[in-house]
Amino acid sequence: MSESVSAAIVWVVLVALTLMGYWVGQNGLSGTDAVTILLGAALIKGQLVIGYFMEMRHAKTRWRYVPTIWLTLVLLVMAFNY
Amino acid sequence: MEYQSQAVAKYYFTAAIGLFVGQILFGLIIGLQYVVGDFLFPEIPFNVARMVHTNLLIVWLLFGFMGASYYLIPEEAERELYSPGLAILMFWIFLVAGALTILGYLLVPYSTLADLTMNDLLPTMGREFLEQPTITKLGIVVVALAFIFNVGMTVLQGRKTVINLVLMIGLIGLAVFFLFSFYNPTNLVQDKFWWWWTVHLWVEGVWELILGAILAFVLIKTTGVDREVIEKWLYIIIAMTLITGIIGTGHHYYWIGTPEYWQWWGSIFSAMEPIPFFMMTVFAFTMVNKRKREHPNKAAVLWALGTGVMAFLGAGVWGFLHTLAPVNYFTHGTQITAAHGHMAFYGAYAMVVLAIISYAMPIIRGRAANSNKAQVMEMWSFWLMTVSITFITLFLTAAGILQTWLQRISETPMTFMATQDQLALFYWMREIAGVVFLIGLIIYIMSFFVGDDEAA
Amino acid sequence: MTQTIKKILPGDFAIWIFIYAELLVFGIFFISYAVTRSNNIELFNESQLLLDRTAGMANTVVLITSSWFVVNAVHAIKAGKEALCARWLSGAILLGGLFVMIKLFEFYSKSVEGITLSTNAFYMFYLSLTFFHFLHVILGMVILSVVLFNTRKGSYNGEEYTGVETAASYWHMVDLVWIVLFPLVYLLR
Repeated sequence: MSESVSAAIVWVVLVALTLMGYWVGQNGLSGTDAVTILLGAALIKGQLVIGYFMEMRHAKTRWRYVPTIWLTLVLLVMAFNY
Repeated sequence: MEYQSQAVAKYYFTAAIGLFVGQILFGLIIGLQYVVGDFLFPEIPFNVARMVHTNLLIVWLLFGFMGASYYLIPEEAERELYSPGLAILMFWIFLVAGALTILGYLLVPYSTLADLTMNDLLPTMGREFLEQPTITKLGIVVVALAFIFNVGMTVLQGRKTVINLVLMIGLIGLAVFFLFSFYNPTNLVQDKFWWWWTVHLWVEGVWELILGAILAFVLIKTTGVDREVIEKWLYIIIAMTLITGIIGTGHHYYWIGTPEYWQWWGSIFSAMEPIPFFMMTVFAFTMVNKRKREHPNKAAVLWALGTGVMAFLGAGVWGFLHTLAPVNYFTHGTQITAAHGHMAFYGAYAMVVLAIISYAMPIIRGRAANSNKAQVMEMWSFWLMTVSITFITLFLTAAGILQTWLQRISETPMTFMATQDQLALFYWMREIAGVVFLIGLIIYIMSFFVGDDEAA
Repeated sequence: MTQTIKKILPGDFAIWIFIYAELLVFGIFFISYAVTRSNNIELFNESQLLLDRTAGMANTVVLITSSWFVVNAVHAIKAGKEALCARWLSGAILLGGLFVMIKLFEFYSKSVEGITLSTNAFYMFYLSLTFFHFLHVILGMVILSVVLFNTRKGSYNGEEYTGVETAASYWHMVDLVWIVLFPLVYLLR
């Protein structure tokens, strides 16, 4: 699979997850289930951007983990507070 | 010394050290007045001695920055200074104006000084650190403009390096933000709001650019590390300074009557202000570790490394301790502030000026470095001053914690003066540390006069 | 750019220090929001309902698409296709502009309703976070524009395209931050 094709697929997934989140919001869903879905979606979306768009997948250094660690930490703290 | 005109720095450095001694003498006076309240009263009351102490600090650091600039800019720009004559003229004007101002503080009541200097035409007196008569302030503007013109023309007509440019931005910023000292609103909230545009944006803003540039220069010269590496570090450091420090000004807007969101903005951004200082420490140590030469001036390298460490501890760590709004609510205006202030000013600014003097003075006097005897003496002075300021800071921190507890947190809060009585032991210990600091400074001055007969 | 510094991340390494610093600031802001909310749950839930979720969703899609365009721009320049790179970059910048307009519309509606930073804690965070992010979108657009200008000038080619990657990395950070911000402020309850 060429890089361009995988980027396009990532884009489709990102938009789909966004629309799903929007649907959750529009239907006033709340509570643990909604929070899990939204944070889970944010984690996936974030990781896709980090891995595929920022190309951290191909980076050959431990620095590449910094954005992932950031994302996980922030989302964890948020999960804890909800 | 590559360019003859670099020698004008000698005047500025000499004045800087002289004024530094004055600052410390008055520091000892007010330190004693904390525990012996009527010491030298009524000839030199506390408020007057304090003004002299703080104003001398600022002026000697300004002399230091100017000297540093006159030394390093010609070398970086690879041409002679635009006008050495102007530099010397401005030196005397600044020195005389400064001396007259200090004499004004000491010899006449402050309100008389205000009348004599026609303060009512454009009132700028009466604010902490900005106590200078308006005419002195105007004089400072003139001196600053002439200085910036002089070094600016040198850079414009010569090689533009990152160090040059960062230093120029810092110096221009210094001048611009000084202008806010002329803006003196009647509304107390606004008065305090704008005051910080000079004070904070100086020491937690543009002065850090000056610090970074001078430190980078000393490191390039003493380590021989590639200019490109050092310049890249400098860019990153000043970027972090500006990102954290500009909105970080908000950590002075918690309780003065501004909206509540400042407690958030100020806390979040100022919490990160230690980052550029941490980077400076790593920068200094990394460059020295990767050095490509063994420079004979070991003392200068020691000052450079010490600047990184003490600036990080004093400005970064001690600053962080009381920067978050929930903490500051209790510690605001206590001895914690004094503890941070002393170590921060010494670590960041006094030390970088001493570092550039340490590096440049021998060269101006005709050798790469001082004799071994002189350097050892200078290094002794480094340790005496640095360790004693650390103790001053520790004693004041203890005093501040006790003060916060007794005066603000305790279930039965004590009054201000009753609390001060309880802190007396710490003030005495601070004073003793201050005497050791003065001894260190005297040894520092002696180091300029020893070992001239030996080779470096 | 100096050849002595190895290429370890896409683009100039210095931008990554900058990116990590930005992530740190936003991260602290996000965490502050979450903690404050846990002490004011009702207030936050109530005020959150008044936000324009559709605008937020639209902005998310716009920014994700813009990021994807930038990815394509980098692919194009790697393949030596400068003109194609420039077209993708223009598209990304235009979408950035669309984000800005939608955001301005949102800010305008709020201001008309009399909502300010001092209205309540939720709005303080909403306005601070989105405005701060908004400024980064603008900065990102400026950086992309500079790179676009350089691309049209022929400054980059199949071997030398660090500038494009540098700008791209920054833009992806702006996108990444929004990906967390949108659910946090607009949706999570």
